[in-house]
Amino acid sequence: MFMRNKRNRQIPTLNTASLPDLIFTMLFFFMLVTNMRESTPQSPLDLPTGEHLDNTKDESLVHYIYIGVTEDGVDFVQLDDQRVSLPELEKRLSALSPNAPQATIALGIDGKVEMNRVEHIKQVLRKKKIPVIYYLGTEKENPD
Amino acid sequence: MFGRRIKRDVPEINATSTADMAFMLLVFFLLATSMGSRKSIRQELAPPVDSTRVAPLQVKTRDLLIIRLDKDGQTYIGDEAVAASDIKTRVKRFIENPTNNPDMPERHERELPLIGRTQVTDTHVIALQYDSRTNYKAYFSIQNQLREAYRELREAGTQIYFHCSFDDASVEQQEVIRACYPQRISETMLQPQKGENE
Repeated sequence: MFMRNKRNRQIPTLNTASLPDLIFTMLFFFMLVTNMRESTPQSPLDLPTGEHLDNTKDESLVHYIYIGVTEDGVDFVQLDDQRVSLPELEKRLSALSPNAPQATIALGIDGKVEMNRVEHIKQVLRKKKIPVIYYLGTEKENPD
Repeated sequence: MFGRRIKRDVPEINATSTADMAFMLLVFFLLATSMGSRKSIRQELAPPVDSTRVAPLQVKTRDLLIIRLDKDGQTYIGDEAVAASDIKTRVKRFIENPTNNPDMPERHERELPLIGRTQVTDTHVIALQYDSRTNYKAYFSIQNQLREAYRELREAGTQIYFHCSFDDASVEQQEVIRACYPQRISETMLQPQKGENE
């Protein structure tokens, strides 16, 4: 009897049936509170700082234009994920929203860029009848 | 034989890998999304104008505040050099014109919903002029200061009329306050003068 009992004994298994539920809950949390990552600039930009900046609205619908200087010292303009020249930018912008001209543009511009380059881009955007633009910046650490 | 039949278990679906699947999805969302929104300054762009057709806007001298930004990032109000940190206070005083100074914007009596007759300086214009060689950082900082001036005025206005902060006010109340302190900023880029080099 002793022998038979020993043979039948099994190692208890950990019940992981509720583990997927747990992870699905986490998944839904992240799906709700995050939004799709926007494109990143090709080389790091030194965004200017400011106080009480607004939140960029409808972030998933915003297109990004980055203006900066690469590490090798070359000026670049980037629309979403691709580097573009000014005439190309104009073409791409019209391709973005052929029916609704209300594309919102966020401009990520390095602090050292001269205003005449920014002005060129703004003229292009105005010509494309873009109604609202956002200048990206970072919030000052300790506003006083 | 009968005993063996009782012992037979109902086969279970092996759900061990569901967790892995969910993990994969979770990791994808962690990588492909970002939390929080990016901070920015909002600006409305004027539609392109046909310069031959449009009549120049008539602005009285007292209604106009010219802020100039030179290529080194130095700010001037009129011809007077002003520290960048003082711009906000100066702009606030200019828009509000608390003493009805004849050099500052004219106060007009307007009938506004919710708050009745009020004096507002709704014809003022802040003209921002910047050199084409100014760096973007200086421009952004000035824009931020101007927004701050309006924000603080509106905040104070909401406190006086509705006894709450601007963000907590209702949409109608916010509209009234915006009508009290309308944002009127124009900007021009100045090309460097001929013969003036660096």
